[in-house]
Amino acid sequence: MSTALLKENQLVEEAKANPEKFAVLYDKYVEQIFRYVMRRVNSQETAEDLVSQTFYDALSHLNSYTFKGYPFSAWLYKIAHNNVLKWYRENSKYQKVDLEEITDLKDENLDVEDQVDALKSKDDIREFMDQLEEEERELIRLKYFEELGNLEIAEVMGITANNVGVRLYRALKRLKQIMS
Amino acid sequence: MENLDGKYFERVIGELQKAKAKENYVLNPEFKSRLRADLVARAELLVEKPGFDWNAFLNKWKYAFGAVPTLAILTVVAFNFANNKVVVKQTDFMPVIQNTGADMLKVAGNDSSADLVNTYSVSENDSLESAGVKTFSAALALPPAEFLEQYKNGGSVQNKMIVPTVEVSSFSFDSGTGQDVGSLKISDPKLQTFKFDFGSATVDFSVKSNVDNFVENVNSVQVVPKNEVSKDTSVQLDNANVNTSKFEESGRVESSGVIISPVQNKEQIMSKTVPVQEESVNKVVSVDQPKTVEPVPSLNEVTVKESPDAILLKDNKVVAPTATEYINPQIEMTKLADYYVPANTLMNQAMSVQPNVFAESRVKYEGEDRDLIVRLVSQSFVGKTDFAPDYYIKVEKLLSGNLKISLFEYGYISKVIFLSAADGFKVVTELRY
Repeated sequence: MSTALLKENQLVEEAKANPEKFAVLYDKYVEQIFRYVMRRVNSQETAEDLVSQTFYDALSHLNSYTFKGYPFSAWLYKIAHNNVLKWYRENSKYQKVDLEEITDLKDENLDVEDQVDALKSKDDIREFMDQLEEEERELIRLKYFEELGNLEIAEVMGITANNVGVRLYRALKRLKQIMS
Repeated sequence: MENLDGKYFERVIGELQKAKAKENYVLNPEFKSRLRADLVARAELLVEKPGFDWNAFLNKWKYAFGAVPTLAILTVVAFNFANNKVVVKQTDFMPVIQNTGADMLKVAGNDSSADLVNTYSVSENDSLESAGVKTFSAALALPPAEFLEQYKNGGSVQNKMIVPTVEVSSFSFDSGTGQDVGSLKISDPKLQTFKFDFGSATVDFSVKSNVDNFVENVNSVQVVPKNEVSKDTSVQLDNANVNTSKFEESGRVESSGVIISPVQNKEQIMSKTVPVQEESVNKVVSVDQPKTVEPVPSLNEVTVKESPDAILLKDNKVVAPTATEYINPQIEMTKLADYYVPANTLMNQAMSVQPNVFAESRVKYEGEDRDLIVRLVSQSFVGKTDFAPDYYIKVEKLLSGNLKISLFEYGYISKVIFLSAADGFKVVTELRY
């Protein structure tokens, strides 16, 4: 086990005893969690709400955290992941589009749906990823955007590390087929 | 499986990395500092705990708090049990209790209520207070010790068959050799007679045969019971009324002249000796010619009284009339008799030493020379003083000729037995609930 991990765990234990030290953990991970949430919801406002909720939850449940040999961020990702899923459940009827990005579009004659499509087309790989299942997208995001290890992904998604490898392989294979 | 880092996925992963590099998600610094301040403020609140953590205290002792009312209720219940006698009101008794006399068991030639068995009686030793309240001692709630001993030692119980048209009561259930007491065991298929346990009550099946079947059955009946729980079946015959003239013509007994003299109560039924002419019995019980029986001289005219299909108890309050029910288009079920056995009756049964028949039903099979008699017999009744067990037996005759016998306890069906009538009333299926 790396020294960095042990030091981080020591910091977490100190934060349990003195919650004011939680700010150190916040400073370390807030931007990382924000990017992860932003990739999921693609809305600044929603992402900020979900990041706030994630850190509130982490602070209030800090005493229940147990060190399992991987970074504290995995626990934060798990809370964020659950909050995003909850948000999607509660807002499943609506598809939120960032107005700021929409106004950047040159062709203002397009309707909202076309604008959303146009927004997606800016990034081909994301368009291809949209054709994957949500779980496959999440695996790819955690692996290649958040750069988490299989153990951490397993912790976030509630599956085994071996299963992460197998599912990730299938997701990449499908993505490759879609791209070709 | 290709390596994720190999060339196979090189392009895909390259595209993903490019997409990540193009990302430009910037956290608003204002939001970041605001959230940080908020978290620190919350953390301070967590540090500055109040003097006493009520939430933790309640969480820790929640089960103890829940136990307090439970203990209080139990204490009250225990106090009431300790300070109150077990009292059964007179009004709870069945009206037939008053009937303890002559018409307990009667099979008379001209009496339409033939085959009636009075099923309820009050022991003479029971104290019946004039105030209308009957008080039992605690000991009475226990199982009858004498009967229990017999029951344990038993294993095979047979009553002698004395004459034709008297039901054979031969049964066997083994409590002493490790077999399930409650399980059914047919003692002798030829007898077509058996008995099984319904918990605290027993249902006794016996085939009432006319001369044809009787002779066939006698081969088995002649076996002397190895252990008689109930004493000899107590019936008294008046052979003068026996007439076999109709039997000679049709080969079937049409009516009965057999008269069973009235007895005083069930104890007498169970203990009274039957004065039977040995000669006539021996002739009827001829083993050599079971199928073709010559009319016995002593049986001058055998007339068998047709028994009512359903009504067997004297008091109509406990017997439902015959009715036909259509359960579904395929199965027609005829409800032959329903018996509701109130709690106080069972209590009386528990107090008596002998197991008593308190319900009996005869199922007739047209075109066959036999009837089936179904009896509900109290066997033992343990410790139910002022609670009211609700026993209800329902006998149904299916269109196929099979029988369905259901026992309901406390309003719920506890056992169903299907009997095949085609081959000696053998048990087809036994369902327990």
